[in-house]
This record gives sequence, structure tokens and C-alpha cells, in this order.
Amino acid sequence: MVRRIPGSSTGCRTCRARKIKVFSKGQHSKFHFTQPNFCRQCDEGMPACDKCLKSGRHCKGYRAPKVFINTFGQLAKLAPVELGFQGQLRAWKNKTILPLDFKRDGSTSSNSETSEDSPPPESAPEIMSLRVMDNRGATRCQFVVWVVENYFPMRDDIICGNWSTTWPDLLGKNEGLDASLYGLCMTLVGRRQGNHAMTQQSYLHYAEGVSALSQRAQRANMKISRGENVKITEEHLTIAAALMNFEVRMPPCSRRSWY
Amino acid sequence: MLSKKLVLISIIQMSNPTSGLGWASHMLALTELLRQYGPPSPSQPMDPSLWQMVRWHSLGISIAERKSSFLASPDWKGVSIPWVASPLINDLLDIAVDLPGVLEQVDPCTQTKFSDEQDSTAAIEDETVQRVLDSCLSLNQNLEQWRLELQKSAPEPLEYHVVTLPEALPLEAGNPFPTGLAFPTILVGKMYCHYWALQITLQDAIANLIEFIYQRYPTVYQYSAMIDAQETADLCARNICQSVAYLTSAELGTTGTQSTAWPLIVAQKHFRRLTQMNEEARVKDQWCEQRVEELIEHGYTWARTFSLIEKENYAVTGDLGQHITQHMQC
Repeated sequence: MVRRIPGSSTGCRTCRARKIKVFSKGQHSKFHFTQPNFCRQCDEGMPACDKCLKSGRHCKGYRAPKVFINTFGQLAKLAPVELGFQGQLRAWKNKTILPLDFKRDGSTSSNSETSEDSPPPESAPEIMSLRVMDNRGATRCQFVVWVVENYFPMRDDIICGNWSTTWPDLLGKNEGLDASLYGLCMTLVGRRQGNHAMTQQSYLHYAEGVSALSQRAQRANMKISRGENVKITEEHLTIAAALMNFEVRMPPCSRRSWY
Repeated sequence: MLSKKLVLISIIQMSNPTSGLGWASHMLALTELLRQYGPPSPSQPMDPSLWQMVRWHSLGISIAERKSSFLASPDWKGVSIPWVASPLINDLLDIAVDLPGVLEQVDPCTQTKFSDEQDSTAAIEDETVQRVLDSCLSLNQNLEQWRLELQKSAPEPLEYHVVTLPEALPLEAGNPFPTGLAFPTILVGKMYCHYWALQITLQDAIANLIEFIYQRYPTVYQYSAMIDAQETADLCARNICQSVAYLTSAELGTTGTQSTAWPLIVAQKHFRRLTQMNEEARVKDQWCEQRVEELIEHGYTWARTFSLIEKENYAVTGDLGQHITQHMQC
């Protein structure tokens, strides 16, 4: 028998918080009207389950908010201030991997140390680990796809003409572009969730994107000095657009003059 | 030259990644790249959504600078791309790219209005003023034509509907916008809001220009035309504010937030200009300020950056290299 993965149970969030049982496949016929606890089961109805409707509760739906565990948490906490840019780049290249159980405030703790005062299950967001895999591209792709799916609803009227929804298709073609989009998604999530460490970590990837673009520019400059023609490609534009979008989510300048 | 600019921008970004100047720097670099890339064509394709996004941002920066852009030249208009989205938004952009050029023509006229020199108004010939006014009215006509096309193009009217917001406070409680606007789709909402934002900018320019003419030829007609332009701008600003609740609703995710920022800031600037004369405008300005703060809380900090942009402190005008050189010397 295949055991269910912990935390993968279905049912609306309200019923899960109330520890209401949930129908699983094949159970409907078996338990229907014969199960003594039938009245305590969530039928997973949309948009609200029958249980919540009957009890007059607000059905919170089935998609739990997710929080990314930041594998570079401590590094990100140090990165902009104490490491300096070169230090950040070195740390990134060394792929410093830190414990996964990273909290929003930057501290680390084991999951088993959860105190009794921890928030009730219904308010605890579902946690998705952002693990550093051997394949860095796969990690980035996973994250970018998740961000696009969750922050840009996949409705026809929203997809139309929205550049953000094309991000997953742009991945894997260019390292600089990957880094820019990854950083962009990370700062988007970090700012939305109030995760300062994640926002700071995004600077690493932003810097990587800027570095890639400037290297391309340097190569172009060398070609120009040799009298060769330089052709701007769509990739150049896309990297610059991603970096510009990143800046859209940067803190505003406190100085009067931007330069 | 381009690569040198990009390298300098990169150096600045690396040395001070949180300075807030990055958006303008990248936007200028992106605009420069786009100019060298050339207009999209079948032989030189570009992702339609990227093309649209770059044009909106470039338009925003050109309007802030009040300076015409190369995107207004005929080569860059009417680019034929197999659009997935509604081509109407592309048409709107084709019209809107003319706005910075019109503002550039209006400014010399309106700036002399407040000059101390007695004969400053006489320095600008009537023909020039009339030509500028004609440009404004022509653009206004194009925008109006576009709005009619938007309404006609769909099988059912793509109009917005006035709805009562459940969470809104009544007018007496200090909420200047107790009702909201709902749209059939977010695309329609986005198009309308950007159309209104363009109209505010244009109508304010027209009002200023007619006021300048009124100084020379004070007639009832001029006065009434000026009031009409101001009222149109006011109506558009109100419509934008009433659309905020729809566009920032949770189901639209970040997409709605992105569509809200620029129109909302344009509306806020309109109300801010009127605060000295009008107490109601001050309340509306404060309301807009609260919505901008909410956008920032949602991670869209560019809303604050863009709201700070004014022509007089917008240091990106002119040659980018000059500013970067100044920065490097500091």
C-alpha cells in the first residue's frame, strides 16, 4: 500500500484546520451515508465545500499560501552589507549551502523544535523548499514557473500581452537571462511576503545578470573597435528588460538627484 | 558607445545596487538597445509582450521627460506582429507615442505664461500657439477615435460598469470614491486606465495652452474650453481611482498591480496640482497616496519611485553619458 505523503491531504483549509475528515478516492461509495462520521467529512466542493456552507463558515479554499525556505538565508542576511559585491559573487560561485529550515527573521531552527505556541494549522503557510540542486537551471526554472503560476493568474485575459507570463519560456537559453529572471522572481516574492533575506538574496542574481550583460557589452565593444558590426539580439533586450523590471521592485531613491 | 554606456551602468549598479537610479538607467539602456535593434519585423521578430512592455515603460519615461522619442517616428508605428492579445492596445500605443512630442511643443508656450517679462507672451507667435493647439486637438481626436473603436470592436459592449464597493466607506466618512468601476476583463481595465492617464496628461496640457491663449484673447469661448479640458481631466482621474479596487483585487495577482501604478500616479499628480485651489482635491490626493502605499506594500516599490519623478528633478534628461560622468566624478 502506498502511504500518503504527509501534508498532501486534500480538503479545504477550513476543514483541515478543524480536522474534518476528507473523502479519498473510492471512499465515497463505501462510506456514503453509512459512515457514522459522514457529517464530519469535507466534500471538497467548489468554490466552497458543503461542510463550510452548512456551518456558515468561510471556506478558505484549497490553495495554501507558500513560503520558500531560503537555502542561502544566512548568506543573504550578510550579503549586501558585509560581504560586498565581490564577496557575494564569490559566495555564490562557491554555492554555500545553509540549513533549509530558514525562518523569515533570518534565524534557523529545526522543525522539531516547534513550540506549542506556534500558530494554528490553518494560518501556517505551506512550505516549499527551494533546494539547491546540482542542476542550477532546474532550480531556477522550478522557482520561476511557480512564481508565474501563483503571482500571475493563468487566465486568458491576463496572459494576453503580459510579458511576465513568458518568463518560463525564456529560461535555459542564456545564463545571464536566467539569473535576471530568477532574481526578479525572488525579489517579487520577497517583497510580497516581507521576506527581507530573500529580497537581499535576489541582489546576487541581479548582479549576476548585470555582469552577464556588461560582459556582452564588452565583447561588443571589442568587436566595434575592430571595425566589426555588432548586432543587438532579442536576448540583449530581454536581459535589460528583466533587470529593469527588477528595479521596479527596488526601494526608491532617497536622494533628490538620481545620479 | 552603447557598450561603454552599458559598462558604466553596470559599474554604477554594482557599486550601489539600492540607489534607486537603476530603473531609469536600465530603461535608457533598454531604449538604446531597442533603437539599435530596430523595429520588429518578420525578419527581425520580437516577442509581442516584450515589445508592448518596453513601449509602455519608454512612453512613461518620455512623458516624464516631456520629450519626444524615436518611437514616435513612422518606422516604429503600426508594427505588424501576429498579436495574441488585442491589437487595440497596440493601436493605443501607436497614438500615445505622439504625446511626449506634443508636450514638448506645449511647454515653451505654457512656461512663458508665468514669466516676469512683460513681452514674453508676445515672443511666441499666434501661429505657433495655434499649431501646437491643433496638434493637441488632433491627438485628442485620435484618442477619442480609439475609444470608440474599443467599444465597437467587441461583440458585446466593452464598457465598464459602476458598482458599489462592499468595503468602501460612504462619502460622508471621508472616502471620495465610494463607488468603483468593474470591467469585463483585466485587459479592458488596463486599456481604459492607460487611456484615461493619457487623457489627463493631454487635457492638462490643453487647459494650460488655452489659458495662455486666454491671456491674449480673453473670450468666453476660451474660458469655457479651458474649463471643459479641466473637467475632462478630472473625470479621467476619478475613473482611474474608481478602477483601483478592481485592478488590485487578489484574483488578478500581480498583473493588476502592474496595470494600476502608472495611471494612479498620473491621477494623483492631477489632484495634487489642484490641492491649492480645492479642498476636495486634497482629500483625493491623500486617497491616492494611501493606494500608492498599498502598492508599495505589495512589492511594487516603483510606484514610489515614479511618483517622485518630476521634470525639474528628473536628472536623466539629456545625454546619459554626461550624467554618468558626473556621477563618476563625485
